[in-house]
Amino acid sequence: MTETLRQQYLDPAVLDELGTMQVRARMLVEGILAGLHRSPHHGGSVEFAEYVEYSPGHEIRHIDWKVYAKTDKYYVKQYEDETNLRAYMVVDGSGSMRFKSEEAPISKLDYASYLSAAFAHLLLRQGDAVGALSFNADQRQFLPASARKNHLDDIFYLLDNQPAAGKTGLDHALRTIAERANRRSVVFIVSDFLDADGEAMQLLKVLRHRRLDVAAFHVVDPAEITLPYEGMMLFEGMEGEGELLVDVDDLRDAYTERMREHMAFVKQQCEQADIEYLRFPTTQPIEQTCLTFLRGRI
Amino acid sequence: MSFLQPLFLAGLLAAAIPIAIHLINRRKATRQEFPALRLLMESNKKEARSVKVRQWLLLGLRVLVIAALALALAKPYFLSDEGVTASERLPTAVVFVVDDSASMQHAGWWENTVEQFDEQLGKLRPWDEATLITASTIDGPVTRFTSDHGEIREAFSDLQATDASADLSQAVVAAGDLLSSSQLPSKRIVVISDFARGGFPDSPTPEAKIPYDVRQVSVRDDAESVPENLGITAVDYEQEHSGQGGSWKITATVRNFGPEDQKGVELRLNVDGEDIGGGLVDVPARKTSTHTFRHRFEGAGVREAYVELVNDDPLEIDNRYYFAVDLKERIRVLLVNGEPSSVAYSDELYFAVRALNPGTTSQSAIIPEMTTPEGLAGRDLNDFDVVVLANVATVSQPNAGKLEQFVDGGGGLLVTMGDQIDATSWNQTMEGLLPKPLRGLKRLAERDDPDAPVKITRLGTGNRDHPIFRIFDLPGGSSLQSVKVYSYMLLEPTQQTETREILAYKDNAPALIERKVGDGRVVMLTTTVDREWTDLPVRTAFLPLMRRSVQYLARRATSAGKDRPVVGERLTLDVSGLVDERAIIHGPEDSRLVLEPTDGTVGFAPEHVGFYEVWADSDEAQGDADNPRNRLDALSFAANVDSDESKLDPLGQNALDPWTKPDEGKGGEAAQAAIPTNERRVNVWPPILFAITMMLLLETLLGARRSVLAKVWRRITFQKDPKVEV
Repeated sequence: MTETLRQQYLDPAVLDELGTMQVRARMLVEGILAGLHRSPHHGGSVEFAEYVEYSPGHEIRHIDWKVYAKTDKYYVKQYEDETNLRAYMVVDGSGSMRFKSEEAPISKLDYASYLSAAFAHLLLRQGDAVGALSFNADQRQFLPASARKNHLDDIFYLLDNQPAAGKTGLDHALRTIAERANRRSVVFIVSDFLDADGEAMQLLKVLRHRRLDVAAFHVVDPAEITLPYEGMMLFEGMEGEGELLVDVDDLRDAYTERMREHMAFVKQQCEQADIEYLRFPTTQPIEQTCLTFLRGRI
Repeated sequence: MSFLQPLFLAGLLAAAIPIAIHLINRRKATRQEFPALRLLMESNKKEARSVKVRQWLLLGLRVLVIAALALALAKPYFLSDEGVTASERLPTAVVFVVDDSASMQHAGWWENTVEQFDEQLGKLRPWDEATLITASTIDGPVTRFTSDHGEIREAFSDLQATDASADLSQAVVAAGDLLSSSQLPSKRIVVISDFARGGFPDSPTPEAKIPYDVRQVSVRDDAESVPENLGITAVDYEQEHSGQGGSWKITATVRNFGPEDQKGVELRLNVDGEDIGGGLVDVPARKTSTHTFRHRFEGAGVREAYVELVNDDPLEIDNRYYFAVDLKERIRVLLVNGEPSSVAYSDELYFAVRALNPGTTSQSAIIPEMTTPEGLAGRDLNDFDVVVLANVATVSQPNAGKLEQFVDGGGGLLVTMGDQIDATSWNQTMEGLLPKPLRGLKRLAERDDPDAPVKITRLGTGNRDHPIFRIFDLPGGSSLQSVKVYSYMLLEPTQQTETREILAYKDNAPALIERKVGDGRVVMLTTTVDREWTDLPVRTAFLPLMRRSVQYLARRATSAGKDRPVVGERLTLDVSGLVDERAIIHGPEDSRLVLEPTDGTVGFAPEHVGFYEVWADSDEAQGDADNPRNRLDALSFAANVDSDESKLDPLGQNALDPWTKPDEGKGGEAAQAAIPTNERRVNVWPPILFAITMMLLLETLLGARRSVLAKVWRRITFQKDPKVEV
């Protein structure tokens, strides 16, 4: 099954294209893998750094039982040698991500999953720790960051079992990642940002203030932009917004204008928060999206 | 409206099809999941109203198209006698009769006339011939038939509503005469008028009826309602007593031609361009009211005056009435001396003449002229204002008739008594003039009788209201009561309605008595004007008494009996002895007319309301304005609008029916049915089909997808399709 998942998410052509690319943090990263990342810390001694609340994925052997005895909570010790680059793949698993128009080869969710898998694979291959968070308004599945080789399978499993239903709940997801992610982590947010309102964008800024390196991947289906339907249509919301009966021609212009405004808003908010923003359609090859991002980082 | 294929009307039910489709379409909409529904809903809120309007419009158009199609298939039509009846397809001779009378000056009516004429002229086909005559002149402006309709239009453009009256029925008859000369097979008269009651003064005679098609085109905004209109129909004036500086009574008659009472209507009098004064008058509906002005004219000569209504009724021309007053400078008196004497102060008229004209240096306005009873027959009394018969023994029958005519025409007669009077003869010949029949002499005392002071009588007080005695109200006027009277003529005590006593003696016998005869008056003094029966001539009261009596009796300037010239009606002026070669008439709006007299008269019809001056041979235009002898004041006059033109009551749609012959051959209903009518079928479906085409085009435009229309537009304007950026 793991092999099947690997083949599904890691198109050999994609990985071949990305093979020699190195992800470089824009800011000063404390931990790097040997031979690739420069660390500001000298010496290879393993020193205690901080406690982190346990979550599934942490090694049980690192749980501090003394602290558990005192607080009744599981805490995991973090050591300096684990301060390599940590990356979190935050993938939108709401109902709207299930959408796939006729001209798109895959749904937005599939595209987001493949993209996240490619980045996870790349990062893990160079020894960085990768975590993942799949979210909608009702549930969030979180995998702590880990550099273990077999951690990639867990990530793939999480990506493959996303709900693809319910409301987005981007703000909840951002709060979760703000709580769980260490400083100096890189957060990849892959979403269609359809419910991105002022509050959610404010949380993005909070992440940035916490010295997290955030990159927003805005995935859109071409049909969301051009509204290519004809005649009377009964549109049905994918996140329980109800129905709308319209003659598409009557409001195509108004809708495309409104959509442009919305995308411009998301982009502007990201730029204000010093967050890297990348928008791409689901018709664009995944490797091209990866390269566009990575080239900006070199 | 009727239908050739009424069965197709069932197709109207098909108009429900678009509604059904509309409802079905709503249910047949494609279901599609869409992630950005929130944005879609926000866009829909913005567009919802215009979309809904367009949808309803489309639905309405589709229903209409189907309903109209069913209607067109049913082939609707109606019958009309307009346009191209059998007779009207033939070349037609048309006489346009345009009412240009004064009533057409009513606000807005002439503008409507211009519009209606254009419309009627536009209906003519190129092969139709037309003429144009007007109601005020009948013989113009275009009296021959022409197919050059531009000429007719140009002739009409020079027309406007005149001040003249018009008999529209005569104009219609004249139009019929014109048509009878045309060779064209179809003939028609088009009358454009207000069809007011005043335009038809006469009833039609059978021979005046015309056998042609007559069309009535009304220029009224509301053909049924009676417009409000007030007009001054007359101004009468009368000199209250003659002589310069006398008071005049000017009476204006206002008529309310409308259906509503008018209260507080203001009238103003204007003399020689100066506003003299005004007054208010109430005029009940359909009634007349009068208002009297009093005015003193200064100097002599012609005065131009008018009375004006200050209101804003829509017909202005009848709100002003012009009149000219000729003020006499002198009073000419013919004194008939019944007892002349070579001894100056024994002469019957010695004192009277001096009282009337004190001397050659005097500025008296009274010019006495003496004659004898025999000389009276040879005199033209029209040259005199007053005749005095002083102690004339008898008056012959012809002279009596002459005097009667003179007095009846406005002259004055003063009769004084004396010992020559033959009472019986006077009672016979002068019965028509004497205030009361003469009974005989009453001698109270002789002049040399020592008891005379107790026997004589004296004059009493005069009637203070009478114009003759108004002067005696002045200080010194009491000298009249000191006059001694030795003898006087007794009168029969008959009752005459036209007679009144002005002055009596102390014994109550009448001393001065007056009778009104026609337009003139007779005053009789029952004593003498010399010193035989009284010492009145040597009393200070004599001079004013004589002068006032003569002034009172003098022919008064009055409007009574005078012609009242009306604009548009022919007027004849007698200029015999006044004009050698030509008479020049100056009228309003700088009009100048030169006429040569025929048999001592000139005739013309005034064209405008206002004042007209008559000049003899040369006039002010030739620099002779300073020569008043050329201006004939006695002939000057004012012309006004005919009051018939003020009657604006509408005659309705069938005003001209009495002037046209009824169609012959009309029998019962069966006969009527057998007669082929002139009605033609007017098909309604071609315009409906055209409307359907237009509606379909509109439906196509409204129903087409905007994207398609935008694409087509871009193709037409060679624009590239916009690229959608992600």
